Amino acid sequence: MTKRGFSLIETMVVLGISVAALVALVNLFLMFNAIYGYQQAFIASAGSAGTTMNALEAAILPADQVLASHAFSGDAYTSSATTLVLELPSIDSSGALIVGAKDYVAFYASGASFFRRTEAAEGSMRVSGVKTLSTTVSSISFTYDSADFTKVTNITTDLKMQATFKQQTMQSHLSGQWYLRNRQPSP
Amino acid sequence: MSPHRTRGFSLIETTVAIGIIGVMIVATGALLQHIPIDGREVRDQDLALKIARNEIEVLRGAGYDALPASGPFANPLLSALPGGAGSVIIATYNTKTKRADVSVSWVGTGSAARSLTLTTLVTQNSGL
Repeated sequence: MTKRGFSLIETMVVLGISVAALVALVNLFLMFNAIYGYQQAFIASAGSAGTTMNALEAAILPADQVLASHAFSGDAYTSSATTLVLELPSIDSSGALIVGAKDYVAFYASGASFFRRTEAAEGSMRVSGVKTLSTTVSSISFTYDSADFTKVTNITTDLKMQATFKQQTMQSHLSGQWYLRNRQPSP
Repeated sequence: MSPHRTRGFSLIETTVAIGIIGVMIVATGALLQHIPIDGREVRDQDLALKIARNEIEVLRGAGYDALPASGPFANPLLSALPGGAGSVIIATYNTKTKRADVSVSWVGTGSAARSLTLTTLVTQNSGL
């Protein structure tokens, strides 16, 4: 009895199918890599743009005025086109106003990073400290409706983000304007 | 079954199995291509919401007397939305109140029409 082996045709067919499966597998990996890069870049740009705008809105709406500058335990911040210093009435954990107490919030950029620094009064529900809002800022600008910071009632923010991840670059652009809800009319 | 034949998978069986696995890989790849599209939908929706909120803020900030006539409004961010357009409808709510409906429409994936609307009431003697 002769020992049977594979014929040339059989071997070729098997090799062909195996190669096709291998190519599909590599292609899947490359595609997955690209999608992962896209998602990471998307989160870093669009996600942090949204977070930053929400943080700005949450501070600007309750603010009673824009300060020209304020010293946060030694570090002074000065309001400009890229830095925003706000004074907010303090509220306690039950939402009641703490009469006479003020919280201070500064937003500022350093390189591609954007930070929020908070200085909360005693008993305020806000927490003192620095929070990094984004690390993908390509440009940020604040526009005020008055050159005199004590008269500012409205702040327009324009924010551009750019993130690159695994050859995938994502850009996002958001802008918005808010009125200071607690601003007291000038005497 | 002849007694001398050792049992195992034949070449044909193995090949068919590899072929089926290949088809599954291709199908998974096709599935993955939908993920970025869903991400775009979320971003567009968020952007449209921010545009509409901004317009509400503008209308309320300007006050009752400055409310515009119904029609389209401009916002530079609209150009970032595929087929993005904004419109505002001002209607009388009662004698001293007007109702503003701010709509943003855009084209989603698969040419589907998408829109969202925010509504606010503006009274004659109120602030923000």
